[in-house]
Amino acid sequence: MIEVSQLTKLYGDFAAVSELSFTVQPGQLLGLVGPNGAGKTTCLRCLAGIIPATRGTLRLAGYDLATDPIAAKRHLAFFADEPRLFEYLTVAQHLAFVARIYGVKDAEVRAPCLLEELELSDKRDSLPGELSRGMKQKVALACGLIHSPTVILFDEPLTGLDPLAIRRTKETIRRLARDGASVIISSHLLHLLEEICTHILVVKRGVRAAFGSLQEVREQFAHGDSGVDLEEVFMRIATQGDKPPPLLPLPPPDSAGPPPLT
Amino acid sequence: MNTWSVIQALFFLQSRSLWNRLRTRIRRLRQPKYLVGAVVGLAYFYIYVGRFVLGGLFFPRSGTPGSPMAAGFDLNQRQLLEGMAATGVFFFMLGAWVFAGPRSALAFTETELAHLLPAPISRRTLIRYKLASLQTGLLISSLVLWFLAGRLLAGGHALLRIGGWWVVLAALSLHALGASFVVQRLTERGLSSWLRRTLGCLVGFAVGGALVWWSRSTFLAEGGIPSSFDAWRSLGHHAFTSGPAPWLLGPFRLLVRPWLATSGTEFAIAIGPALLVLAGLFLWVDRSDVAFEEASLERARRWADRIADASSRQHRVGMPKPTVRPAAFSLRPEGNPAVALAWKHLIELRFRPRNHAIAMGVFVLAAVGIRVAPDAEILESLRNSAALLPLGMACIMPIFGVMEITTRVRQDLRMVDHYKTMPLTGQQFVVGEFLGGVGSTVCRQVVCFIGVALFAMAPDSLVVPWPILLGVPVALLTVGPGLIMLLAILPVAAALLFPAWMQSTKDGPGPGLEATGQRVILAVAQLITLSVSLIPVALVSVGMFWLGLLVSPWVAFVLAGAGGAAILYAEIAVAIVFLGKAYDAIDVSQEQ
Repeated sequence: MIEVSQLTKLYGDFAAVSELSFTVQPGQLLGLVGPNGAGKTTCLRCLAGIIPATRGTLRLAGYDLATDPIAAKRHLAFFADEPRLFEYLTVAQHLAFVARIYGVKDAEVRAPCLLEELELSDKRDSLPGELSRGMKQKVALACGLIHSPTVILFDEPLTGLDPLAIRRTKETIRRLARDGASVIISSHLLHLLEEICTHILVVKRGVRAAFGSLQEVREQFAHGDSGVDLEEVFMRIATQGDKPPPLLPLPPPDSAGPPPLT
Repeated sequence: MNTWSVIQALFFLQSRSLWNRLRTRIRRLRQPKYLVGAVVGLAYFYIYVGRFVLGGLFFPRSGTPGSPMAAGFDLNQRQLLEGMAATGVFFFMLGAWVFAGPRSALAFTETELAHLLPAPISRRTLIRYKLASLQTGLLISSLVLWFLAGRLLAGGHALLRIGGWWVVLAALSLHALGASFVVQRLTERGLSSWLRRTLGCLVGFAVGGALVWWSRSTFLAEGGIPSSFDAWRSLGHHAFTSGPAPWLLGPFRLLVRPWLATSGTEFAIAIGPALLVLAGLFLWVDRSDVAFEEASLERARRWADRIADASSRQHRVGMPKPTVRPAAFSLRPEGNPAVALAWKHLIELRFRPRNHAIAMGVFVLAAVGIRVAPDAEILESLRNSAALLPLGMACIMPIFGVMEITTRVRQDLRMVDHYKTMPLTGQQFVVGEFLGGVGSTVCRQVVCFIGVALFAMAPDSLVVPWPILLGVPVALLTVGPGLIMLLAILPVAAALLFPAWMQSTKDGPGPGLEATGQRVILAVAQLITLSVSLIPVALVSVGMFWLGLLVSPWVAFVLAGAGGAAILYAEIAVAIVFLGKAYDAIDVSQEQ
């Protein structure tokens, strides 16, 4: 379970995230969306313990991240958009390393299963430099899952993956939630979030613009329209309260007109 | 888009980039730790460099306005110097023909190419853009060369010297560019690289041969090989001022004359012809209509790939690709997580027990060989020297151990955001960082001490008494790891307290003046810390040693080692607590 209460992160005088509160129950999949610079990554990095929150309370699996960070992080897996792997460790050595850090007792059983499941068995003795980007993502996934986390954070998980890998990653994310993990996915791929998420949190300029189940968020911003999808919701939230951007002046019409297509 | 517009855009790009970089660094100084570093760095630069640069830039040094080297020379010596410098420039330029690749490639960055190639800019304008952008680097190089030469040879007016250097460097870079264009055109017309290189070498041999031939005929006419330095100098002067040299080296002499000018007037006279040569080179390059774009794209892509590769591998560009390295030991999934870090470091350090077993085997074989060799008496005399080699190695190994620890910490801090998501306490992180370097160093020291013992042991005469032979390694191996950690504490503390230095190559503006200041502070602090922390260790060790001597030297060494080690490790434990807190306090969002 993820509980965020009044999360605020200041960079000097600038509030990247301000008074943000939400909860993700076990089994729920929360899609974190917002325009560029809205504070999504800052929020995720605070939740992952990478950067300290200026104010607010973050509880992961019941543990306060500020007062009991080690216990909280034992239940956490954070997947950055760019997989972070050690240059000189093979795939199998990565798993052994992470297993020791997290104290995974049954790592010797779990590691081969994970490698098998992620189709990495034949790459177990390969270095990251010998792997494609998709493969590296899979290694990062294996490392993140070896300790059976109950709090999982994904930052743009599908970047750079081929359609097959996208399909498999989506299935993996769904399975993790089904198994009882609380999952947050930050992504700009709204159709992906609409497809797999149970809940949506829209952040704009560091504050919560919308939060609830997918249906609730849709209804909240439907304004009487039927069949409003997440993209439309996002557009309405993103442009709410903003002046429409000025239109670029059109070039003077060419008297000769456009050349005919041949 | 005309050339002037592009040059204006270039000026805007460079000036804005410089200003923004400066602004980011100044913003970093809001943190007192970087501000202190900047102040010390500024003072260091002023004392070591600034006062010479600022003093020499506006006022002639030592009252001599001319070239520091040439000013003190007579006419003959100056002509000799001019001939030698011209010969150097000639061979440097010849190298551009011999060593050039088959395709000319103007060095653009990927970003420059992405913006400039699709833009409505002619090829000639692109070349001019590149030439203009090179000037900043040339001016900086001129300044550095002037400073280096000025520090070595006092005297000379800075502006004249910088101007002289600039003429030579600009000519070399223009010529290298022009030569690469011609080489590409010739290659496209079927000239093979080996033929071009052979022709280049032949030209080199021809010019060099002509100069040597003329010199040889001169000294043969004057009665044989000169026997004194003055005679050699006179011969050199003759060789460069008569015969083929003045003709062969004519244009190159024009280029180096401003650099050798001894007064403002001489410089003014010399700069005209030099600028004419430069103008000729510029026209040559400017009129070259060679399709360099594809090669430039390829070059920029390769370079970007290498940087990206090095960045992802946290290595410098040009480092070899990694290979699989077996683990030093099997890592169990349960236990202290710090061991995992040490295990990882030992893999990165290529530490393998097998290699140490091999090294020990070599020592054993060498020691046995000395015993059983037919000329055992001669070899026996080498025994002492042979024992010194592993002893010396064991003594310098702590230095490498400290370097290993510091390097690992710096590399791991580049992935601090990754580590921060792990359930690792700061103290576990620090202990893990120390363990790898200390463990590998101690293992190597053990092997070396075994080597010392094997060489020092002899049936008839023991080189070193047994108590010392065993006591010293035991004492050193007890205190040694502590000493390595003690030496590593400050560099590690610096890395943890100033992580922006480590991340700067990837994301930030790079270490600035404050980094130099921090290094100065670090060096001084290292000395002070080492001295202060070793005083109680030494006092306790000496006390225990004297106490132990009442029993036996064996006991004395063991007690000295144990007493010193106890104090040392207590100090280190305190330091690890502090360093762990420093790791916990790292806020990556503040380190830009």
